[in-house]
Amino acid sequence: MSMEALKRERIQLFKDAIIGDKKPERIPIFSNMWSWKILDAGYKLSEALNDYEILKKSLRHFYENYPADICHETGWRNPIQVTESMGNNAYIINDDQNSISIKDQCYMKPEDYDALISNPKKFLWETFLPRKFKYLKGSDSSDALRVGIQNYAKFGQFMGEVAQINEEFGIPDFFDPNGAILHWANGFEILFNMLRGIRGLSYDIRRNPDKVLAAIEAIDEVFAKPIMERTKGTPKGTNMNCSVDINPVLLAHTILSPKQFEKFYWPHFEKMIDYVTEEDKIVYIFAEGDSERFYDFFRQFPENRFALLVEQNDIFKMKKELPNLTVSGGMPVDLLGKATPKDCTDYAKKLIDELGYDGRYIFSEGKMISFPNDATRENLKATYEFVRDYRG
Amino acid sequence: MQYDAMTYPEGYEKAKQEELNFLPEDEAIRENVMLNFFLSILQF
Repeated sequence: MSMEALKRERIQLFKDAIIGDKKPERIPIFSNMWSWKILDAGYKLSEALNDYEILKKSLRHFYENYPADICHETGWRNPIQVTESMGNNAYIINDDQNSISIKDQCYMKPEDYDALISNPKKFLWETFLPRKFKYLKGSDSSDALRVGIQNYAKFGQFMGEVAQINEEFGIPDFFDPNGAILHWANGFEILFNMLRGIRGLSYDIRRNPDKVLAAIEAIDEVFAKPIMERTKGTPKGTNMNCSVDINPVLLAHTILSPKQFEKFYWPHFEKMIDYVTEEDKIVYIFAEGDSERFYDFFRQFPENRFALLVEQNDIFKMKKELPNLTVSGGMPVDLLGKATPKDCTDYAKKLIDELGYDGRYIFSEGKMISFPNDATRENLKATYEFVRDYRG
Repeated sequence: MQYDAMTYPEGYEKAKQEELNFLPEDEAIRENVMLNFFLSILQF
């Protein structure tokens, strides 16, 4: 089979698993693979994150050894060449522990809300970015900005080369790059991940909920609305060159109660539901942390349009409670890291038999595979080969 | 040439023209790239 044909086959697997008109030929594999592949290829994190060539070699090594249908290389574990060039050193790489961590950055203060709300672009450009990137301070900031843009262009080139490697191995783009809603580009996630941090936003939603709501609206006007506008005029229907159309990542929901979720987050999903219904699109939600307390909301997602990957929840229970969704995840890294290949393939069989009997399951791990103990080579290879070959 | 790039809209617009001059002279394209850069470095 040609790589182009393999890519088409993989795209169809995801379409069938989510749209559900017919059962997919087999259960697709969404590899929840992150920095583990760098270590598995024999490199240190500090080497790889400073060298795009090593990252590309690591990706090739992964594809050559593990038959995943998608490996979501976003490059977002490797922005340090961009951030450090402008004077931000928030990433901490520990080669002894094989870990990358990032400080909970908070460069927006509670008293900045009014400035953010009145003119988000002005506040973020003039005030926020020079706080975050120390070389962007001062009247000669153009030199540092130029270097930052040049490094961003190199990062973009790297992502283009990742796309070429994907083509070589018959791996499709996972989501539509022209999709209407980017991963993080909604106001609440931006406040959480980029502006106020976990602690700051947790206080704000209690002390200044109206300002948080106004800030969400103002941020969406700047970042989400142009993206929505850009998609007007693109063809209706799911993009057959990608596995899914939209791939939102939920992280900020982890600090919310259901009542707070309804107020601060759900309006974003209501817009998304309207969009995907009108434009006939499909969505794969990557939900980090615990999501079970939001199932009453997720039941409102229209049938045959949404898949949901959960990390910390019982996926068998989710299958029963959310029959409107395609479920994804469930493979424990404890097994992949510590059990035998037989234990792993037995569990993968159970997942497929109990979750994929109707075709509405996408195999994946219940945790981002990052550390050496998250999987052994033998277990990962045996598991992916089993899922690829098993027909139920 | 040095200038104060971190003012809005003056520095932002100047940076868009000066630093993205490898792109076609199409305002929509340059604004889209600038916005992506802006959002990315907020996130990174």
